[in-house]
Amino acid sequence: MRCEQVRVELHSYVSGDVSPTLAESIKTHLGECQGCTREADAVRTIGAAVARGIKAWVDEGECPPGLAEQIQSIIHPDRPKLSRLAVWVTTSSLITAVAAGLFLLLLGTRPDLNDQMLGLPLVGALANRLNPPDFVQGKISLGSTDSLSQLSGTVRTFNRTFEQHGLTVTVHRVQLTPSHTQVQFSVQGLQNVKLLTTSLFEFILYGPDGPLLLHGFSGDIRSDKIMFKAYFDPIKSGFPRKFSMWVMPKVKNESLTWELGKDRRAPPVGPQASVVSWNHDGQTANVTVLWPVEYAYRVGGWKATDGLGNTYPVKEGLHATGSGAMIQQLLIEVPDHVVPVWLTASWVEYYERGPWEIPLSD
Amino acid sequence: MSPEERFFALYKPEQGRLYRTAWAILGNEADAGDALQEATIRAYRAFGQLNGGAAAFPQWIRRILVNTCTQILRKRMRVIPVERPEDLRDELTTADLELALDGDVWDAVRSLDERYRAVVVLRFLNDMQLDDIATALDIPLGTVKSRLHTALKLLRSKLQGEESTRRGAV
Repeated sequence: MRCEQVRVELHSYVSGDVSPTLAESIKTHLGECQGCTREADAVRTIGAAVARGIKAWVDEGECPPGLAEQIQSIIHPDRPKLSRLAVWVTTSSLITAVAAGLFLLLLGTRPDLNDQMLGLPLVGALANRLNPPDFVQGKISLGSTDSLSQLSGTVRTFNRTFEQHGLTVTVHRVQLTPSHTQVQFSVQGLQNVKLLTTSLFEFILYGPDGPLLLHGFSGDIRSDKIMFKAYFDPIKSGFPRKFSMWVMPKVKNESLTWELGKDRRAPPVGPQASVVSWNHDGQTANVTVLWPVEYAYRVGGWKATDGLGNTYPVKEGLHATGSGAMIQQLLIEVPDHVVPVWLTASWVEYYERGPWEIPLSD
Repeated sequence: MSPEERFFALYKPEQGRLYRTAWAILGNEADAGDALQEATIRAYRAFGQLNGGAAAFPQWIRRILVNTCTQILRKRMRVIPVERPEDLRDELTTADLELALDGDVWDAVRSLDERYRAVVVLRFLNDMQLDDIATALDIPLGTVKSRLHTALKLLRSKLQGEESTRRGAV
């Protein structure tokens, strides 16, 4: 057998999932080929690690409370069923997701934006509803499970929180390794989060000798909080003194308006967003809008009017983000005899707020 | 205890895991929510047919959920265009670097293209046999193998890349 043929079969082989004849051929090849032998070891290692990692992630999962209630309300005969619109959203979601995905494939990338977003998967957009920008002194509380237990000499677990401006930041774990310092923490209170970027957060870890360089972070957006892992420079001796976070909350709204069925591009102010498509099924207008990704995290406040003072409900459907743009589906409950329909979006500007500061050393 | 109460008593402890299983297979929370909703309704309707009692419930409902998810994937994959050539350098196929897999596996898995992610999740999370994955996704067994092969290479490069980036910081 040739190496490439063997390598495609290696996972099946190490899992004992090939025929005896094929197993014998692969075994013979491995006896003669060091490269494929190393590859078999690697396949075994990565397979075990992936299985372990995904299962652990699934085991710690929680169902979003809203979804759990919705499911129970559907099954419970005394509770209201899903609205027609909700059913429509559900059944149309796949079509839209595929359309959005295909559309994003066609878009060019923006290297300058890539630089702003750290390498781990982009998981959505930041929040646009925070408290007014008055600074309130935060309070540090040490949770009852705060043990500062030293697990292995390199890991400490915490339950230290800092709350202000309606946000609660909790540091859960700090891990020191020769290659990096990892901080696991959660943020509760951010609403409407879709995308996490470095332009929206600043994380600072103070080592014994001063701030450490942030190399990247990943975020897991859950129903009630965002779980972060941030990776900083390694520390050669000692322990970090303090973790600090800044965010950029909204301070003002801007807006732009399209006449549906007529205007494709937004007016030349603010984000250069476009209405990609719009169609009507008699009850609901299905509109797809394309935004530059730098606005993706702060667009909201959708309104539909008929120019006569009547407003119509707008629901946000699916969205998908690429490195250059976000595509957003909107569902407007407006009768098809209403023309024109004006669609208005607003976005928000941000400024720095913080810090949320949590001491880490005794 | 009514059938509904019995169902939810068994279902609720599993709900978080089921949600994440759907998320892992489908790649996003919105579709995961839809799939979980649909699978739960199916399971509730078929609850009377469950054999094996409470002990069999977790695996039973998980199978229903995975079936629901793979149905969604099959519909999706029909309109996804041709396979793209892989941009993998030869050196990434070697096993020279020792993996440091202390976490971030899910981050790496979910960054995979859907075709690869689905195969990885069905194989390593749900422990499905490759020919069962082929049937579930309605693709040839050879395609499952080649996707798994590519996916494992990508995962290694992602996880090794992450590790080497961190090493580079020393």
